[in-house]
Amino acid sequence: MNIDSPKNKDNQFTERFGDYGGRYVPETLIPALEELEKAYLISQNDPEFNSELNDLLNNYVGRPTPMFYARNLTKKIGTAQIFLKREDLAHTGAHKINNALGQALLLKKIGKNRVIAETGAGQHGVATATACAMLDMECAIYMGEEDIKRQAPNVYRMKLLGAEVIPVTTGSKTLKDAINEALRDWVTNVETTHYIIGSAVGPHPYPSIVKGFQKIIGIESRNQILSLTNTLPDYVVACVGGGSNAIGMFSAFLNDDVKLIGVEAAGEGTMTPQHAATISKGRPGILHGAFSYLLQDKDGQVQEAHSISAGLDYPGVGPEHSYLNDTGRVRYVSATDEEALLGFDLLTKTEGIIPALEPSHAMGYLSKFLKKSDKKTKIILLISGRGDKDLDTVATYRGISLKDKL
Amino acid sequence: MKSKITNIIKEQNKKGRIALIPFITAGYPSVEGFINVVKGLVDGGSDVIEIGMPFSDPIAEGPTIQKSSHIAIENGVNIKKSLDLVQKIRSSGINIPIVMMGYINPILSIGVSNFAKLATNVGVNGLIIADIPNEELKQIQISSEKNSLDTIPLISLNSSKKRIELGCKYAQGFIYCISILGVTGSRSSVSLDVKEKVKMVKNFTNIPVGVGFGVSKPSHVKNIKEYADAVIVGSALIDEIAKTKNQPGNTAKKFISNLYKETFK
Repeated sequence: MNIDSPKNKDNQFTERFGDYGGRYVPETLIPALEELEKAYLISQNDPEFNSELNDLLNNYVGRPTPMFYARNLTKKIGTAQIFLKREDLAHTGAHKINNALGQALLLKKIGKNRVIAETGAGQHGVATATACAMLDMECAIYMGEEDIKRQAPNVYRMKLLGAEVIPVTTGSKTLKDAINEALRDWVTNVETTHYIIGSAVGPHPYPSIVKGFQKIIGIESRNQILSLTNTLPDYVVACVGGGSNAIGMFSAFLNDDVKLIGVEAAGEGTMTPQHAATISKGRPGILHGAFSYLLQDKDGQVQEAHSISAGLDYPGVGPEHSYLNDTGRVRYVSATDEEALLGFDLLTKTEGIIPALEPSHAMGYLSKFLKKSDKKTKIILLISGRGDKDLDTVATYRGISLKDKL
Repeated sequence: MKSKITNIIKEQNKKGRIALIPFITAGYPSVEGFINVVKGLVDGGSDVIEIGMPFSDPIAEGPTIQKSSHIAIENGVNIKKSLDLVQKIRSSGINIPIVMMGYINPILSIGVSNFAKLATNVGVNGLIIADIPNEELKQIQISSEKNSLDTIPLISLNSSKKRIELGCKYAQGFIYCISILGVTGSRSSVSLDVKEKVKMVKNFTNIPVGVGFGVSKPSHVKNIKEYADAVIVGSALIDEIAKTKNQPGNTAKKFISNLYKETFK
């Protein structure tokens, strides 16, 4: 596997992305962040670490994940050639495993044996619980009570894997509050515990580390599209909650003449208060240790986000996305719950791929956007995860109970 | 020394006393009740008052202060309202130093310099920001320089010598030593490790050192008095206020005067 990244000055390990990022946490966490930064930087030049991680990525996760030319979709839409990067085929069903495994392996080096993590949709929780089961580590997952309800199968998966799932009942009882509780646990148990954050958010060095472990998506995609078509794509499209799948994908194309589009969750619409379109509708602020776009009221209180997709239901966004928005390198748009469900159906019926609700937003946006495109246009769409976890949510939205006869 | 906070703490120390700094969330248990609590705290013998500005995501707080913060927001208290309340306290003739504690986002939202100006105008003497590590204090200090607003750093049990030095470099008023690894909230005992930390801090500075987080009983205060200059008590006070339906001012006064009597008898 070729893991050489294209050279890119905007793509380095850094504390700040323009003004964004930084390290805004209680003093107690600083030693742990410094330790993590040091361990990560050493690991990058440690052949043993890299060969162990590559072996796990190839033989345990199933990398490289395929890039699939979506013939039916291409034909049906008729205005572009669509290639799907299939992170849904990675072990545990989403891209989250790349980062969870990387960070868990890093822990072995640091010598801590207890892992905590937050989860929204449950995918990062499952990935972390999986990595901990395999690497024999103690694991506790913080999950909002609201998310526990809508992601029951993933909750049970985590428990089967040996993780303790701790319900979070504060605030909006979703991802934001799960991160708050994980941070409180970390402040308390910092000497024995590592916090595997699941998205490209949080204080430095997390955004850079998470990108570091997710950039494999972009590197593979770039190689795959070149070998399939001999050219780079015109567009790369990915969904953005915290934005780890998107930053992993985009990082390989930042210096290319490729248009990059990040799709946020517009919930019931960005003209209503019920959305999670952080970059489109927020303004810069500080949450969970980083300066980045944030959904907040005029007093600087953080607002609750809303999305049909638990994984996008977050009022913040990774700091590098804020930077890429302001520089104009990436265009950030949004898709509503309804549009996401259209995307979900479209991919399911035309290609026989049931996507998670998160990338369904990217698909939903794309089906609108493509009306203006032409046949020569080549697009990579990142399918960040599979939809099994969302069947109940989709059914409930449509007034169907899976316990009744369908 | 210019700092009013430093002066008051040192005066107490000269009398062989540790300075008592209670913490209360602005607008808790109600807007009116809060004013009464502050009056009660002053009557009970407090030396400095620390006032929390409520934030939606207070990651350094345990359940008690989280809850008080949430209630305060429900009561319509934001950063400006918190400062209005300080103005009310000042106009009722209360002169003891007041320190505001908060999280960076609401402060950023109205602008750090603007906050410093508004806070100084209403008579705030110091500022603690829970989610600002000590290297970022420099920026806060630059913004509040024109105003006589002390920036108070936090030192943790796991802070290295280098980081203690950094905190001391930007310290004004007093230095806040966190007695535990963890969030705020009453504990049954206070770790002896903090004594060592306070000693280390004192190697770098003459500014008074306060100990807080987890302090809930007179026996804790008595113990801390042996090595520190000030003590901060928050969650235990708020728990007491939460237990009483009426007259939070009396509860606050009783709490502090008991603590005072028990410690100095």
